[in-house]
Amino acid sequence: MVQFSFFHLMPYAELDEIDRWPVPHRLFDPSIGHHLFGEYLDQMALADELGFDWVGCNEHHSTPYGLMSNPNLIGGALTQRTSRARLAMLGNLIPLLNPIRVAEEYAMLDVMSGGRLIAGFIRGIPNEYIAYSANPDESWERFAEAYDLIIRAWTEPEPFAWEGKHWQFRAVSVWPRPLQQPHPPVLISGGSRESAVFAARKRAKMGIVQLADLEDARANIQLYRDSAADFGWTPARDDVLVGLHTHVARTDEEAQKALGEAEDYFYRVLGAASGHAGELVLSGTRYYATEEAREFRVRRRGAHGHLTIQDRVARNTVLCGSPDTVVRQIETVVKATGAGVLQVNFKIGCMTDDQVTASMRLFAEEVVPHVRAV
Amino acid sequence: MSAPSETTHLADHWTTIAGCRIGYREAGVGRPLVHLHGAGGPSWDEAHAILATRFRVIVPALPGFGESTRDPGVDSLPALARVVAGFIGEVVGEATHVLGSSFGGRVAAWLALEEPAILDRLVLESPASFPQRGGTRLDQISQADLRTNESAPDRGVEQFASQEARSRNVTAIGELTRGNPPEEELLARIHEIQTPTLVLFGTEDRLVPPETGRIYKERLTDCSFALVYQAGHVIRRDRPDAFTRLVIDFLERGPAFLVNRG
Repeated sequence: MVQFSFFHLMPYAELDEIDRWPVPHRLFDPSIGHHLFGEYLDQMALADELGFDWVGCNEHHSTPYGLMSNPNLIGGALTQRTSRARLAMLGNLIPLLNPIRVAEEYAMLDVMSGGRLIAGFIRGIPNEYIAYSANPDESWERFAEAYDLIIRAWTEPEPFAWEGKHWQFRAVSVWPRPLQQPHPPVLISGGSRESAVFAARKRAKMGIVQLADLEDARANIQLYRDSAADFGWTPARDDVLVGLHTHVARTDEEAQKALGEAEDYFYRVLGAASGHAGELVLSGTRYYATEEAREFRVRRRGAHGHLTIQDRVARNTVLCGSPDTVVRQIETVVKATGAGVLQVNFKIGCMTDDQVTASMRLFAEEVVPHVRAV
Repeated sequence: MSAPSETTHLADHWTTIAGCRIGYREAGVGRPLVHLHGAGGPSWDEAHAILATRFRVIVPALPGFGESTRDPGVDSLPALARVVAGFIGEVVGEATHVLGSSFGGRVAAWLALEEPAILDRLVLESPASFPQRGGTRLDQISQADLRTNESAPDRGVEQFASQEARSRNVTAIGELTRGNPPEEELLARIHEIQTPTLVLFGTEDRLVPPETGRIYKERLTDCSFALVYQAGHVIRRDRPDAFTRLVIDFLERGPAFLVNRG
């Protein structure tokens, strides 16, 4: 049974143009921000009411692209605003943070939510390495060490010292410990071949967002499943997540017009800000483990910049149209990739609250009932 | 992995305790630190050299191991521990820190139970005291089982004895432990250890599950349990710098070992 994850980037879509990163915070109006956090939390609470299986968010720094420098704060609010959906923090940028703090905050969310946490362990897009002043060369090994340390902090019942390469602690004893045992499910990005294999080795869930096309996603998901078999386990359906921009309207034309405009703002304004900084980080560093991974990213980014909404609909990299159309699109995506969780992102760019909530309701009422069995 | 360097007979001192002729090596000055080796027999490696810059490091070949001889009366681990106590009395002459590695950790635990007065602080490196994964036979353990960080150089590893002498180690272990059964008695008494103890495990130990460390942490009065990331069973060779940093800090600073001083 396919599940749906309502994902929110919490963008600040008040600027006409952004030409630098970090984006100066003088451009942020806190009173508007206050209103937006309320509106966005209302949308996430609505997702829980409407029966979305997961409600999720993520972490970005120094940009109106997303207002969650710490998604766990949103997670804390969601423990009180939702009662049923899984809370998918996708996720904390573990190479850049204190892993013990991540273990603690995630454990709090798990206990506060009654065991609903899905713990995203994310490496972070390149510009975050400037924001938190970390060496991109160390990205993968910091990620791997933080991963092991957090799991150990959740599962080791006795206090322990950790003599790592990047972190040293003499007395780790995480309070509270998580409610889900042995620990909350972990999800990592499976967007590159390296990360797909890593997820399989760790028996973690994997997610792919911002697809270039379904074939790219299918290939990495197959690699994940094949690697899992090599490591002696079989991923469940809901171990694989694919993320898509989503908009449902009464007609295909109406939906394409709305999402087209919203995506234009998303790619042209919100997404462009971090691009240059990201290139600085990638230039001459080992953020990517292999040249192949670097080329894959370049190709994927290139594919996004020049496509129209019609192109994206044709490639099945968005869910966009009337309820009937979106039902068929979901069937296509699930059949092609084998994903068990579709992460649907409704608040794209400058999409209004009315557009977002109307689209969510159509999705929940006229799409989901027809695709549960896919 | 690089092969251990050529055999050199490093036991440059000898003494006789309870009918056992024991060879040992020592280096450095300072508070004494006696290292009880694992089933593979004694060696001298980079970690010893680092420790010898801060301590008087003494490494005996246990009776029956390497070129040391074992009196037939020494036929159990408690008996072996008493010979070690005699060795410490004779050679060290004062209370000493003891580092026990793998099988030597098991001997050191018995020493802490049988002769606590001669111990200052105790460090157990991957102690093989309790039932082990799959009951691995000692003669089946490969280098790959012991080491995980194969890119780490085997810097300055010197074996104490010839290959032939080392083959006797397996026999000695079998006789001292009567086929290496689970140490029920040691497990039942481990909580009696009062000596401040640091237990170290590598996160990638393939012989003794690193989770074993929690048994000591839970039961001993004064115990720290440290996980050394990406180290296998022989932590001191996979990550000599991390290993010696922990050991030196613990031995020199005691309970304040928990406080980060840079």
